[in-house]
Amino acid sequence: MRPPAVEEARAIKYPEVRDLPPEEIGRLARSIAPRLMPKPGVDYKLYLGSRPELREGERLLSYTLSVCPQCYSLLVAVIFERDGKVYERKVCPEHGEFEELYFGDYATYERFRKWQRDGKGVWTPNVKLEALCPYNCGLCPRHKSHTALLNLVATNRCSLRCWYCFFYAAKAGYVYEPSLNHIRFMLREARRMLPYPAVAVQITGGEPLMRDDIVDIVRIAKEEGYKHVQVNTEGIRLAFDPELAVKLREAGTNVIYMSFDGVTPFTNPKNHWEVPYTLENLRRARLGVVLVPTVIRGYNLHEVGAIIRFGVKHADIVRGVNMQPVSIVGRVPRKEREKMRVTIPDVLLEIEKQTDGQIRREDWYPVPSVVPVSRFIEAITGRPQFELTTHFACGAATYIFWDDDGELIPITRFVDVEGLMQLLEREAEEIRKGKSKYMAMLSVLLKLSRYVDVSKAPKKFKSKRKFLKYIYKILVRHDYSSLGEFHYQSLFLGMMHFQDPYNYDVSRVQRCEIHYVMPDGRIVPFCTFNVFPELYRDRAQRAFSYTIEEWEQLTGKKLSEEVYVRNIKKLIRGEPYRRAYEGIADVLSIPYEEHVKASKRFGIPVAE
Amino acid sequence: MRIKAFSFEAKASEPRPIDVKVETRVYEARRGRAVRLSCAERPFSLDDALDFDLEFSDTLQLTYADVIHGSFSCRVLDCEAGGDTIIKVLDAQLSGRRVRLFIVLTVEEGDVRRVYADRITGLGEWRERATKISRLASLPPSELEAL
Repeated sequence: MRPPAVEEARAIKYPEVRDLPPEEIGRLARSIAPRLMPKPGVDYKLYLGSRPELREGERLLSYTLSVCPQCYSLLVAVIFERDGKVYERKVCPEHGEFEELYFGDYATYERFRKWQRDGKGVWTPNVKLEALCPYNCGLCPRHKSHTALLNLVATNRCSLRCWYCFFYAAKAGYVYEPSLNHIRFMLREARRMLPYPAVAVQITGGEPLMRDDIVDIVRIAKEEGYKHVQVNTEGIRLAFDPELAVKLREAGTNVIYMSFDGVTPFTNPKNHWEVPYTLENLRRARLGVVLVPTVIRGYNLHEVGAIIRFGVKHADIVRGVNMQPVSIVGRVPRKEREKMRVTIPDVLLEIEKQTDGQIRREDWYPVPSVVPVSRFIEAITGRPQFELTTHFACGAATYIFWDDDGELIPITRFVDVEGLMQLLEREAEEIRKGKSKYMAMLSVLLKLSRYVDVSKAPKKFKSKRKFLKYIYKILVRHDYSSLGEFHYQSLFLGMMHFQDPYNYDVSRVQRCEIHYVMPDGRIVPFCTFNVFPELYRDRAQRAFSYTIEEWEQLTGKKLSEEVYVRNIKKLIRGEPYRRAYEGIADVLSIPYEEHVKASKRFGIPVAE
Repeated sequence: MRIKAFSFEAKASEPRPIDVKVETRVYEARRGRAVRLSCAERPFSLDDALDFDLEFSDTLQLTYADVIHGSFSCRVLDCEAGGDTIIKVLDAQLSGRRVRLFIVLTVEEGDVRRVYADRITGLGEWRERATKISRLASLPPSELEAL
């Protein structure tokens, strides 16, 4: 994809350091980190001399910094509106012009933009400021948002061989699997962050459930003060190992974050057959799950409504559906990108169509729209609060409820979200100007009912008292349990559009709050970690990795034998399979051969 | 020792509205007195972008990536300092709100170290800040207030 960068050998012999205490691993890691930073002139260049011009029919919205998708050089990009959509264009002196859809609907862009609120920054940067953004991540003093969700890669091993993936150990040629002491150091790094330390962690991979000590990792995260621990998995091991679900919950896992790309074998060949069994086991273990579809035009965009209905059908255990419009990695020609590309407004429009208008575009709000809640609580308590201050174009969310007749009712139908947020923002400002906190709280409580119209609420909230009680608990008690209680009564719908080199916007990455902690202790935004893998993810992980031989010697396992073989016949015969999709998709009428083809095409072998 | 500083104006509407004007004055602490340094002025160039971020990413939570969104005019001040304690006074107007921020630098064996910087997102009470700045800059609080 790009000219070879500095050839980074493994910085240390990992088997020799893995058992060191966390503090010693930390010292070692910090001493290696500066050597792993992106190198100017080698990994990237700066081409900031000129701004791309606008053409006829285009309206300037803004300029920003972006990158060349081929050589990662820093470029000035123009963001403009054309025919009701928002685009980004940039010109690399070496590789030419790149134009990409940035946001599929200008009206939604404008509505979302109004909600932008910035965070307080990171007061405890892990790296010195030595290069321009995004080549200085770690986090650096430029970063505007605290970590809302910390990702910790527990392994790069995976039992699947998905055709598009280059990340797993067998392909990468090394095993990245930090020891428990190393993990403890990494988790502590993010807990040191000021003004607000990380409180939520996602254990991810590879496939994190490949690790036999996954339960210990969850336990360590809890010991280190993480209130929310989620495990990001394709869920296959959980389909066959009910005990693991119980152990994960008992160790403190709050939720399973599970890939789920569609309701048929054709749209979800990764785990279509196993999901029903995974849900059964999670149900028994009373461990909630968030379904995470990656949405691709021409592939599964036509199923977004069905995915939501699937979530509602299993709402006793499904806590949310978090859709991720595709992030296009690798060198992909423009025509091919256009076939796949969807942005947040495109998915919102499809959801509106596929739910017959029950969930409309207007029911969604951008992530930072909830900042007034944090600011109000901060004004009351006098302490910095957890804030969701991403860029407005990064994500959107809503909550839905439902009645017995199956009608979906978004929260916005009976709560005036905009009015409520304005009220909280006003009251927080009044407190800052000297108003008594108690008077402000009283004022909010007295006015709260004006923003709720229970006549339009689902039947379970027909009592105004009941619904107001939830809001009161969140605003006044502002604890995690009251928010959790609210979650159980609803289904969270989220959307997070991770960037790729084609639509890259530095102003988004500076506001990113989904971060990765790397083995050298640096904390890196999602969209630098994954968009420039050679500069961040792969370089850091390789430095702290085992050779395959070392890992096999240490564990007595064979990497090549860790391949999942699917028994489709057995899976589709089971009652959980029939029950899971009943009323959502007619999966039973699909011929067996078609099931097999779908799985094999994706790269997962089938036991004949 | 050459000390770089910036005075600038920036306006942008995306992703959040920015309307900032900053005038910087640079002082040197000499025997308990703050003496203003004379500085040569020149236009901003791309080579200054990293120093701009060093100066304002924490103090004003503003970076080169922010100001590129809209209009940006900037004068770079190159100031010649002889002493070992430098005080930068940033008079900022943020959407009409006036704020004065301080940065303290020390010079040791040719190395400039930033030992203190006010932070707009966590600005404490003036009395507390003044005590700290005064100690680090070896200047009485009354001298700071007069700057």
